[in-house]
Amino acid sequence: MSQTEAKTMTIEEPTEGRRLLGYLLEFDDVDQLTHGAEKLRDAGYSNWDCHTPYPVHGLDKAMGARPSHVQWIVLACGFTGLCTGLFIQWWMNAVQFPGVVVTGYQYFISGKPFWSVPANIPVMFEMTILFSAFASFFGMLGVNRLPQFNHFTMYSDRFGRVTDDRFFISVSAEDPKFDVRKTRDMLAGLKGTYLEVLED
Amino acid sequence: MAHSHGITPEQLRKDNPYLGELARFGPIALGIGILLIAAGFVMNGGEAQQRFYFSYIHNYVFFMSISIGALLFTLVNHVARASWSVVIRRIPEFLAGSLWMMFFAGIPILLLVNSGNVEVYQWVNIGQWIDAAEQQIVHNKEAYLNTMFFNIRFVMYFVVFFLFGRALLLSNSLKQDNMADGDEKDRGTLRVWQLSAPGLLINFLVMTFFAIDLIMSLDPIWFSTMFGVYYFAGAMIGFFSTMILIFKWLQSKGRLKEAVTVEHYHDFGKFLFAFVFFWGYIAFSQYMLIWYASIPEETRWFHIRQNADWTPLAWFMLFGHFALPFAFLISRYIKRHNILLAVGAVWMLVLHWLDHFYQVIPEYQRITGSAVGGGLPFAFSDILCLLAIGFFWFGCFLITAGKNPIAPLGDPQIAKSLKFDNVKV
Repeated sequence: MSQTEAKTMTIEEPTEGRRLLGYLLEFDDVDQLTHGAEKLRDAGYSNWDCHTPYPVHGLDKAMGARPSHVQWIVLACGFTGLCTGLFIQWWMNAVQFPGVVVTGYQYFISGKPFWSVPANIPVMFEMTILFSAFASFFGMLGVNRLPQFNHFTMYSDRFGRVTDDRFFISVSAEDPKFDVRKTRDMLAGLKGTYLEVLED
Repeated sequence: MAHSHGITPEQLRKDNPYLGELARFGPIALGIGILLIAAGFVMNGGEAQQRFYFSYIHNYVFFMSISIGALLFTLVNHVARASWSVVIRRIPEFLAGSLWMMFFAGIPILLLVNSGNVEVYQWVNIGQWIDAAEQQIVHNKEAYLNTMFFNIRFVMYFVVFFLFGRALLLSNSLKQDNMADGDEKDRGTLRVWQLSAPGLLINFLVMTFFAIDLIMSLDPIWFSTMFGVYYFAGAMIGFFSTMILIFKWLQSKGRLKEAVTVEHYHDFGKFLFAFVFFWGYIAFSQYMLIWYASIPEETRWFHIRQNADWTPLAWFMLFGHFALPFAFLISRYIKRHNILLAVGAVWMLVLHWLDHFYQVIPEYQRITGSAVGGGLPFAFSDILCLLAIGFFWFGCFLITAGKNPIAPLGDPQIAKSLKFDNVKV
């Protein structure tokens, strides 16, 4: 549903003497959002984001998002889990050190050896899964810098519709390329419906 | 939103979706296969016949596994109403539709069982067991493991394969190719969807009993309740490797160059990776439970396979069939790479062949009690049977394909499938 007819955009003006937090541009069309993201990506902005009610195919590419680093965190933690699983079984069941306070106990069960890798693999496997799951969940939160208790888009009254039927691009004033005039002109040139100025 | 790639169904019809002159090789391949099978039996008379039969069973279950994988894959895609796979679905449909022809390659095995020859399937004559305890175990299984019931089951397997692979899946798909869009076409797809769910159950059971009959019963004492799943895991590895290679071959011959994209190869790679891990999981689960329970009639299977000549192969299966491909295929770069994915597919196909070698041939050593200490007992007949049944299998595939389109041109979901995109950066 690409919209070709010209739209009128309402543009707010920054207020004198108030601290500018950033701009928020509203779209009612997902194609225009993707198109706008490409413009910001090509202009070299870094501290900006897209907000949509559902995952938008191709938006990662339009925003120039690099592949996530979470996979390496997961790999490292998964391997740590593997080694932990192996180590605790060895420590608890394969050896005992008299005199050491926290030491293991050699269980003798139906003639099995104290130490045999096949028996240890299920625990090693489960520990790998557990550590990897934690790493991917908390790694995702960390890489996304979540949880955030405040974000400048929270100052907007219109932003609530991002969970319903509107799409937004937010540009933070902390972006090194941010300029009160130029950024505003650039956003005004996109096919949005409402350009909001967010101030403290 | 508009994607830069992806073609329309009209463009697909112009994308050379026919085998053309490649299909002419079909009858030739089938002829070569039959000749080689006949030559194998003539050359391997007398004492060599026993070893030849083991090679024959080994390669028969290997090629059957690829086609059974195709049948199950097609069924599960219908059950899931999958649209991504529509453009590549015709090749598994051909494989599943030619499965019933493999019955004719199975006739030597039927003859073997019915001839009362105890050199391969020892359960055909219980009286030959010297050990009274072992004889009792085999006697307890007689209600299942007897010649007549084996014959009935073997025929029934292929009746089921014909009904689902040929009469249902392939027929309906071919019928839709030149049908106008409308209710009649949609009803056909709906019928396939409805029948695929029970079909999946029935064919999974058939595959399980097929594996039990042909491989597991080579040692009638031994049993493993997860042998069917083990066969399934290997079958899917064989199937996805074959799919990657068939499409590389077709595209190198100028077929479907636009329609099948890197997105489809990426998905084959993902499936292959998943089943590599699944195979490792199943193979280890089977091993660990038997190791842990430590019951003689269960451990005997692994006792042969991890001692003496077989130790290197057992280790090689662990690393070559599981650890190495797991590390290799985990990378998205490799799954989307033109050549590296094909390298992985060839590797997994070879290892899948070795997996069946590892399942079948040690029983030859157990029965003959021979050749311990001589390294892995490869024989010339292994290669001969690989070529013989391989040509036979490929001939059946090409003959079934024939002049038919090699993509489901008229499937209701074809347009959606051509636009498929994994949506990654």
